[in-house]
Amino acid sequence: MDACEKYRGLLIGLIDNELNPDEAKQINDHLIRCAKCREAYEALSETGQKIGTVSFKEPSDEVLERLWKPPYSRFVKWTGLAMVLGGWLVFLVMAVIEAFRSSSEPFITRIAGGSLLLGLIILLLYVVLERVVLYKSDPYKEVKR
Amino acid sequence: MDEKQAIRLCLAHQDPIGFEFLVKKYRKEAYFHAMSFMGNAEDAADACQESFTRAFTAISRLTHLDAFYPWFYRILKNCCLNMISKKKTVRKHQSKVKTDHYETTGSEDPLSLVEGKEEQKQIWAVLESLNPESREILVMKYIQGYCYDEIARMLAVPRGTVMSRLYYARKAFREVYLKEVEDVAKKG
Repeated sequence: MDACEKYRGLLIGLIDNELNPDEAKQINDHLIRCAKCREAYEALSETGQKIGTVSFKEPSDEVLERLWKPPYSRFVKWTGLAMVLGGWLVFLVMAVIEAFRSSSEPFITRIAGGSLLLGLIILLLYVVLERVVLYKSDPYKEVKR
Repeated sequence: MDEKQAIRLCLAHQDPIGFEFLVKKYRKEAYFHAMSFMGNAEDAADACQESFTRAFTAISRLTHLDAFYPWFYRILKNCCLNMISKKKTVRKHQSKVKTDHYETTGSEDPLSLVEGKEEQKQIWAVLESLNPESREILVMKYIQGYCYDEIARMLAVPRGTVMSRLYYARKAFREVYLKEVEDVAKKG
């Protein structure tokens, strides 16, 4: 390893005026002895200052506002949907259970209620399965929609 | 509300008000950091949007967080680097420097203003031709004005590593800059 290697970080620290007194003493002692590092110090000081002369253009308020869109609306939409569907499902299950428990209900009503519930469950499973298969084979899933 | 309260709201109560406070506090800083990676305003805004959304989802799963921005910066940096590699636009802007994202500072004298603008343009071109890590650290130190300790916290590296990275980044900048100046002198 180059003997000056360990002083390179300190060299930049000295230029940027970010060293503590011990570090500054170490690098200053080295600079007295090493012409190569003195040369590097001069060269880096000269061009380094140029970087600080540029700055970013201030973004407008509209640009800054666009950087964050709270996902509340999505949350509200899905909560609403889940509540409506959940409510209907509970009513349906209760109606079917009631129909089977009640001896006064005609047999045809029980069958109709049972098939309604079973059909709903089959359809739900089918939709979920279809979405999973579609997602796995979707070549455009990386594309932002 | 201060940053600590906002973080506590996010962590303990998953309260979006706390997150909004943090977004408002750091969005400009995040935008500039994204600019230094992406090189143009549109991609920088996209990267910020994506990163804030990811951070919003992730912050509720944390149990402890001292400071928001160093943590968020890692999400933002990953997001920018992913976007760059996905879109293969790593150095799309390398050959053609966009002039819509920087400002010049300094003299008001018209002649020196023109000369100054050319030089600023050249400096941006050189910065954009460096690798993302070198550009990142140079922008943090010399354009955004962070001290070594702040940079070390954000990059999650020791202070000594910051100094050593700055040395190599500044050296790389100097080499490319001098070559650019030489090329311009030959053409002129």
